Amino acid sequence: MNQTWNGKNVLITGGSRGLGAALVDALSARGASVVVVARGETALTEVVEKWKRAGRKVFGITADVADKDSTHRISGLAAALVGHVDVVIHNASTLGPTPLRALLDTECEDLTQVLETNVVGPFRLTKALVGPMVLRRSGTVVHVSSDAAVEGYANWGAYGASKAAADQLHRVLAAELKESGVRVLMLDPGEMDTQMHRDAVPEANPAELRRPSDVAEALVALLERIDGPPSGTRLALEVRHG
Amino acid sequence: MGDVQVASAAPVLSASTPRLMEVGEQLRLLSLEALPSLLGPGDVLVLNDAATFPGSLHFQYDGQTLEVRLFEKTSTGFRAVLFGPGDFHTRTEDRAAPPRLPEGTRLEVAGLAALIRRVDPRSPRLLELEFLADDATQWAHLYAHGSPIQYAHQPTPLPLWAVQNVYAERPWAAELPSAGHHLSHRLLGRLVAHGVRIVRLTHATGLSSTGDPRIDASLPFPERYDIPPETAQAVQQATRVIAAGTSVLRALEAAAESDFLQLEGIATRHVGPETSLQVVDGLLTGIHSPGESHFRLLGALADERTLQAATDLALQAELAVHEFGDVALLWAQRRH
Repeated sequence: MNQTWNGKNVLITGGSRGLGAALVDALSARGASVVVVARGETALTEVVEKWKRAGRKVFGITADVADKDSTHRISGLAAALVGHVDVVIHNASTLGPTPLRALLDTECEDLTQVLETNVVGPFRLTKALVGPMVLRRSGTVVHVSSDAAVEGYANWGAYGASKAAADQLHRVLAAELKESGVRVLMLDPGEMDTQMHRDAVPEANPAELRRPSDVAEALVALLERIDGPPSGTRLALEVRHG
Repeated sequence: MGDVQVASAAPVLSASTPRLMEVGEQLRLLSLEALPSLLGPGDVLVLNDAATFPGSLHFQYDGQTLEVRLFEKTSTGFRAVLFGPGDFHTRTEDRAAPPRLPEGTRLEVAGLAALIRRVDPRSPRLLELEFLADDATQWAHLYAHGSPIQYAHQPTPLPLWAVQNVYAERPWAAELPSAGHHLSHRLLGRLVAHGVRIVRLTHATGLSSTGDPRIDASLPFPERYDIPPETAQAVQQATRVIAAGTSVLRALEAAAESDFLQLEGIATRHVGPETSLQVVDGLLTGIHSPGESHFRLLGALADERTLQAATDLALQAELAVHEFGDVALLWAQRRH
């Protein structure tokens, strides 16, 4: 059985490009109200205006998830705009400096920055958004992870460590929220044809990469399933090329 | 309660566990950790899930830096209180009076063009501001330019995150609904484990002080509330209803006037010794002192003698009276 997205409110970070923008498209097209968070105002406005013109409820918040002072601005604004957040998708993340480099060549400050954006920032936002979900006994948290969180790929140390840390945060969150009505999922979307992937692996053949729109469709289909994966599951998405 | 002056300002996030003064058939001092032992199956604890919005804005007018404190959203803008030059280091009551700005005055507030739509006949500092922008833009500018309403007892400005309860959602509160400030997920979990049902409502907690005695005497203003149907049902089936904060009590008693048929509305009535409570059996609240509007409300639960004894105990035990201080659980003496 599937549930409808009509009347559902979704917050997506890093929603101005790549998988984030594809998720905005997939969810807006299905009638969800979407709050899109991104750093770059120009790209964000483009995504938001496209769906506003189509008569959808899509709102943009220009913010950096790594900025501590933005946390309650994001959660407060989101609630002012849509009332409450049913689903939060932590999609924003950073690779750190590119080209990617070996750990021994990685500046400590760069590792700190990657952890701020990929772990601490989403954690702050989770704290602000999931508290009320627990009180409402309903909600979903999705953390977009990577296979770099589980494999020891050379040059992916900062990013991989941050994704592994975020996986574990969400695994523990799922355990703590057992029977709370709030579901926590981790998702490995596979290698996608995105700007981020081009920054990391410029030599990759785009034809061999997943399209963000296919991944977005697969994730949305999964979230629609009421009998979907139990909280705490880490998923590697199976994607059909549309 | 805003701008209550205390001799030694406690840090916002105190490491020590707050104390809990139980005021009922017996008067005693416990740790807040003991709260679950006072409640049990059949009890319903009602929380106000309003988030605190950054309603304090400084702006330039005629060569002066003035402050407005926005406290209630209207269809075109906000209701607001205007202050003269100065900041939160001065107690609200001692702040310089603002210049008289007539209706129709154009201002620039939070980077937006604004218009004074109405000046309250009771006080020139009580305004209705219209913003020449849609709601989404107003909220975005408020969050970009505003800061939470500050308290003179805090040495440094409070950031937005410091004035939120862990379950806060819609930004309806001009000031922190502070009775919920000490309710951690852990404590709420322990209450649930004791059989307590925890439900929510949203109540637009307004200003605790405007600095104008004529208005302050009439506080709290009418405040809007929104009660989910499942909360109304839980409350009506409860053995005892415990309101976490005076805002929750006000919302529940207002809704009770309609037999819980009107779950969205405006609480206009002042609660005090003359009030016969219809719903609330217990109130979890901060430590209030005689003279505050909140203290008058306590008269709806306990008689003067009981409140005097509680005040004496609070003084003797040096309970902290500010927003982040100690708490009291009052049981209603008059039963419905």
